[in-house]
Amino acid sequence: MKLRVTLLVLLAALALAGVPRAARAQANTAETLTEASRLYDDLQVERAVVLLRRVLSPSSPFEVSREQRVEAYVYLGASLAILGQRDSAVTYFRAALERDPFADLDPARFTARERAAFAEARQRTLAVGSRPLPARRFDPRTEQVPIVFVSTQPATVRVEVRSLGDTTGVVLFDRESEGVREVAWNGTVDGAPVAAGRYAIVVRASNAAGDTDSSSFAFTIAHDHEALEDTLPDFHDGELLAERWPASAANRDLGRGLALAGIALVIPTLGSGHLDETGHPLARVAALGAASGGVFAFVQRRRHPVNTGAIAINNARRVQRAAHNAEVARRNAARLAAMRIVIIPEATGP
Amino acid sequence: MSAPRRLGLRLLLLLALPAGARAQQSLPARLADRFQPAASGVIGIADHRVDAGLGFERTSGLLLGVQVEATPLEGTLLSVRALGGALGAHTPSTDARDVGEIAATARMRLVPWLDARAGLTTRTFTSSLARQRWTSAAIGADLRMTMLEGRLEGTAGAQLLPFVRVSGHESPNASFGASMGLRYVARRYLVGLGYQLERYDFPSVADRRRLEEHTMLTLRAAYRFGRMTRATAD
Repeated sequence: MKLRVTLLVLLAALALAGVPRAARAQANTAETLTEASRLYDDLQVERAVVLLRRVLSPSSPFEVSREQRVEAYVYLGASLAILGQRDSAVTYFRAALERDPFADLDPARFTARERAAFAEARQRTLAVGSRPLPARRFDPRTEQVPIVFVSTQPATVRVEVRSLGDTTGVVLFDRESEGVREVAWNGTVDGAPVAAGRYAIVVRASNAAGDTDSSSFAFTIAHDHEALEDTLPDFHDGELLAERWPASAANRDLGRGLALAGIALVIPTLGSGHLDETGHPLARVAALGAASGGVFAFVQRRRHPVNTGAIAINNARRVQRAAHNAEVARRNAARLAAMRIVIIPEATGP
Repeated sequence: MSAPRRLGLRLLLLLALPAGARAQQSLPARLADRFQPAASGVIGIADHRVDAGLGFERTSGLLLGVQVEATPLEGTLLSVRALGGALGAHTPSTDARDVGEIAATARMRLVPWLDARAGLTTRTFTSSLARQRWTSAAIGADLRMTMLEGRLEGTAGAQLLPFVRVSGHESPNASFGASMGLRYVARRYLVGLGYQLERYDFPSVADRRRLEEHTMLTLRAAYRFGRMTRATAD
């Protein structure tokens, strides 16, 4: 029995060790925040403040996500506002806004005093931000992607989509703004669908007092289209006919002419010797003509070594290949025209 | 205009359109495009030698004539040549004679460097004493040698004459021919030089063997009709 209890304890310890530390830490933070929220709702504000300070403490053993930290700052600011510590409340609300400019107080849950302190924090803090783009696939010709951004104060806000690889980008908004706004992006830059790659939505703001703030988040653009075909490369030397005759071509033509002359001289020997009394002057004339033809070809080939036939064939092949490539380009253009843009959000840090 | 008349006019126009399109090119022009005919003027020197066992006879002379040819199918050539002239005597006791011949030849490209050929020839020798008609059929092959990208082309051929009929004589028991040609083509124009030999061995009669040899050197200038194709332009 004792052995069985020991084994169970050991198994439980192993199971606990198997749970990722971060998950357990965040679970503990979440539990603490839930408890603090419950205490806040039960008006046990002092006890809530203790828990919230524990969450925000640098010495906290638990991991705290950005959202949890913002939530803790908001509840801590609200609790301190209830306790009459307005300056501290504003400080914590500002901390919340600096981390999440979208942070706000629900009028149904928070009192006017809390909201007044929050409004003051907002007036003293210039913070801008934008909501991460959700994963999405869309047609740049007919659809648009909403981009939501916020400025805590009246400020000149500039929102742009910028490539992280080069300087290309598109400005979506550049004027006075306050609060949450939404602009639409159709996935194009300079009128053309945005190239695949890593991009960021960058929000910058500057107010009348000269304060500035910016935020950005990265995402990846991918293209979804039918597979493109490759065009054929240009011909290299080995694939085309030689456009100049080699020196041997002239010699070959001369040889053929002389061979014909020899044949002309041989032909009469096929006749009967009885009929050869006066020789064969016609054969000699024919041989002379054939030899002259060979010499003519030799001289022509030496003077004009350009192979016009090969050039014509090569040109025809080039034209054929160009036509093939143009057809491939046309098909590829049609496929790209039907392309969909895919937005892949990148994980954001705490 | 009434509706039936409009309809009639439209039908007429519809029927006339294809005919009009065809009429854009005349029938001779279309035939010329199709068959790529060529017409030549031919000048030749003939040399006729005979040894009938009674001594060597030789006549020769200038012949003039025409030749027409056409390409019914790619790689084939049909030609007809007519020549005529007078052969003067070069040996004693030999009669001068007139000669006329008509030869039809068909060629077919077997491989780029070899043609097969077949031909029919009828040749008539007319002297003050008699008229002799030769009729022969030949088959053979021509070796082709192109130079200057085909603008200059040489041929060397050999022929067998399995059928030879000579009026007033028995047919020869051995007949063959050999030829050499060279032609230069410049677009529609063609100049050709040819040399051919025909040898006939007749059966012996009373221990006398008759041998005859006909050689001819020809020069021709031709003009090709029809649409120029890549092949003809070359």
